[in-house]
Amino acid sequence: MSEDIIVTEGVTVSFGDFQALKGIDVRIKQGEIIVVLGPSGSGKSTFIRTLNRLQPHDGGRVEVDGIEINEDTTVSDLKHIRSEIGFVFQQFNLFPHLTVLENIAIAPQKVKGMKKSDAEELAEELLEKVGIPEQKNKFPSALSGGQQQRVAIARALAMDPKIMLFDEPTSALDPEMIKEVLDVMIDLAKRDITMIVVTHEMGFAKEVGDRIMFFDEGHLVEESTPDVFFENPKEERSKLFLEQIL
Amino acid sequence: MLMLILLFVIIPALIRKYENSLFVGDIQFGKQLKKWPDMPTILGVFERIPQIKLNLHFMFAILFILFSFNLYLVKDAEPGPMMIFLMTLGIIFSLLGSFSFPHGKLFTINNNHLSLFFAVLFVYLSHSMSLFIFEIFSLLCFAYLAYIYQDELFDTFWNSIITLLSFFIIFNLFSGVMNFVFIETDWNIIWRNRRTLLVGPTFVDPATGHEIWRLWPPFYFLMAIVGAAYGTVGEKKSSFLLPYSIFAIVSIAFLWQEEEYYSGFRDATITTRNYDPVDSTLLLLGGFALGAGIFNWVHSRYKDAEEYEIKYFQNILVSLTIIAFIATILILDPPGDKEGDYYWNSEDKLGTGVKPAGWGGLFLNLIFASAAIVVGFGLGICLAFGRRSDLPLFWVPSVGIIELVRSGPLVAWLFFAQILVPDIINPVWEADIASRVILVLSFFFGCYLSEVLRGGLQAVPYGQYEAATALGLSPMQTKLQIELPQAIRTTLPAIVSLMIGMLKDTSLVFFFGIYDIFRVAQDIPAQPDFLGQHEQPFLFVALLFWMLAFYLSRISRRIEKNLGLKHEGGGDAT
Repeated sequence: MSEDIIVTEGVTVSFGDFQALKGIDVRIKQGEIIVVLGPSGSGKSTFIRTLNRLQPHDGGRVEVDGIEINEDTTVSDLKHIRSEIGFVFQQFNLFPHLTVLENIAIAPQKVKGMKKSDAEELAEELLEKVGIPEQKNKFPSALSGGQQQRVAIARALAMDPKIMLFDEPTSALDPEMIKEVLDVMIDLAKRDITMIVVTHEMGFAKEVGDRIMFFDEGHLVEESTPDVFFENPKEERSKLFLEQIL
Repeated sequence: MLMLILLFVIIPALIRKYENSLFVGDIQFGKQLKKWPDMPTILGVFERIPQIKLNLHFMFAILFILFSFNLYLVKDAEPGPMMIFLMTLGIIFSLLGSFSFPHGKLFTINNNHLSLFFAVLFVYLSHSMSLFIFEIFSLLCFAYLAYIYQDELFDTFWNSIITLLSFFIIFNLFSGVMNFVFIETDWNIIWRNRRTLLVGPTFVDPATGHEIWRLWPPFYFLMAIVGAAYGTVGEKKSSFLLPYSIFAIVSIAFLWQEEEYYSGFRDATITTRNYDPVDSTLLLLGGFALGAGIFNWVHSRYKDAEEYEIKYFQNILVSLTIIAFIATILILDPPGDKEGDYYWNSEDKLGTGVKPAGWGGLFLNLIFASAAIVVGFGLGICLAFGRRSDLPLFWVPSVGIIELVRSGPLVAWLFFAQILVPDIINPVWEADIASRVILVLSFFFGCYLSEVLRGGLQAVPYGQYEAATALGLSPMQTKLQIELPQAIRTTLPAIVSLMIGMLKDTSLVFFFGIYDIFRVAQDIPAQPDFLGQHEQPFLFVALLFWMLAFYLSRISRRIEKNLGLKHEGGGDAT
């Protein structure tokens, strides 16, 4: 029980009349790599957003790292949870008025109270890791999409998170840039870090994922290992999905 | 002019159109008629004028010669030996320069420039010497200009008509303005009162004129900041230093003060007391030298620097500007009303200062506008975020203040400051009228700014907020570090136009006995020497305001460039 870092029970989210999530139960262990698949509109992005309360849920229970997240969660707990969870967006969402280095160093400074010089040193290390140390003093708009996404990953890593959430990190990229981002993510997967990746990259899912979660119409339809999911899916809906994309 | 159109535009066009149907019988007459000239044909007489290419120095030389010619013949002035010596020197150097510089090194003068120059010159001469013949010369010069640009001006029938008509209007307007500005009008009223116009009566009045020293530190601050700010832009040196030195020379020439000057408020010519013209000129020179020196230093240091280094320096500069501004206020009017209130009020330290009611002239407009902008900026940011807040505690008062302040005209609010505000705040703070006016101006600026900023905040993508939140930044940090800088970036043009508006609005304080430049301009025609000369001061004030507004808008365009807005679009989503 204690090694389950994320536990959700019957999570529901509605936007007006539309119910985006209709009761999701998952248990994710520390260090697991989860790949979330599903057609668009199936609620996969909404689901990972509930985990750091970018998207408040209306029903059920979300527990991250032993702290339950709901409207009663204290500000300091929420801040703690958010600094534990790195989030990478589809549209990068880098801060255009800050340089690459500042983009990465701002959170450690402002949230953890790190000294500016230390934060920048950390930022340079991380840029080295994602392979673009020479871009540190440029502004995001001067970078390519792939480089921007790698900066975004470095920015999320700067908070030294236990969990990384990826919300379709490669969907907004040109094909030749997808690989450079995926390489960084594969590198990351080798470490003891819990990753939940919403993606359409089946190759990545097969190679890296410990478990596949298949979402459809707000339900968690199938949960199985990549081998089972891609070779021999249990559910009819999963088969249909795989036929369409493969 | 209509004759010209009829003869050389309409008739040739008619002949072209009907040449086949007309004159079938009389071939000889038809041939003659076909030769009827149109505009380009007439202008063809200029074909033989050779292309001239001159160096800019040559132009200076001509200007010098014409200037001296003007002094001797037109104005009947008697230039002293020193003047003649200097002018001769100027001519010799300019001529030498024009031959020693290679062509095209600087700006090259060609026929276009020359003909325009002489056209304008002849207009001037025709008025100043009242000789009609010069007007003909000038028209000839314009005609030559038209010949050069005939492909654009006379290419079609309608274009020819529009060209001639608009030339007619522009020429008359221009000639009238020239006559008014240079010939008919006596600008002595401005010349004599120029210090009053710039700094107001208190700093010029012999009894209190020694307080003028308080204006020098602000001037030095300003020059230092201007120099440093331009140094970070990273353009060519000459593109700053050339306009800067012209401005410096003009200011020094303008502020040069004779031993005696006219104080309109004492109705007499008064010998300067406590004022040394040589000292002040040296101080002025020092200020400009400081600006140029700092520009040089910053320029050489940041020419090849990384963008982020420049940004850090600029941030420091902004902070320094605000500190300098506060220092300016403290030097002008240190806290404490009489000697001994605080230790700095003694005579050998800062003294008791000059109350804001004693400030005046253009300087007052600038101070009021910058105070209102600085205070109003803080206020506007608070109001903008307040209005966007979900908590009624914040948005109700914000909306209330914004709507209330925007509901009344500024004049009404200024009267409010004069009449009602003392009743409200006097028990707490006995503010003089100037401080109250600044307060009202700040509120006014803040409210309009808040709405502009709110627009900018709405334009910040939601993803930015999400990213900041996901990183764990608090709502306050998200607002100040992420949303606000981006909002200011996008709304900069609107903010600058608000600033220009505020600068002009400060002239409304002339209702309340504050001697701002507009009030001074209104009052100086009461001086016995210049009785009733109302046009000149107002035109001069208009010119100054125009220059300031134009300069501000140029700066804003430059800032937009430097904010990296030119890079925008390089990334996909940011």
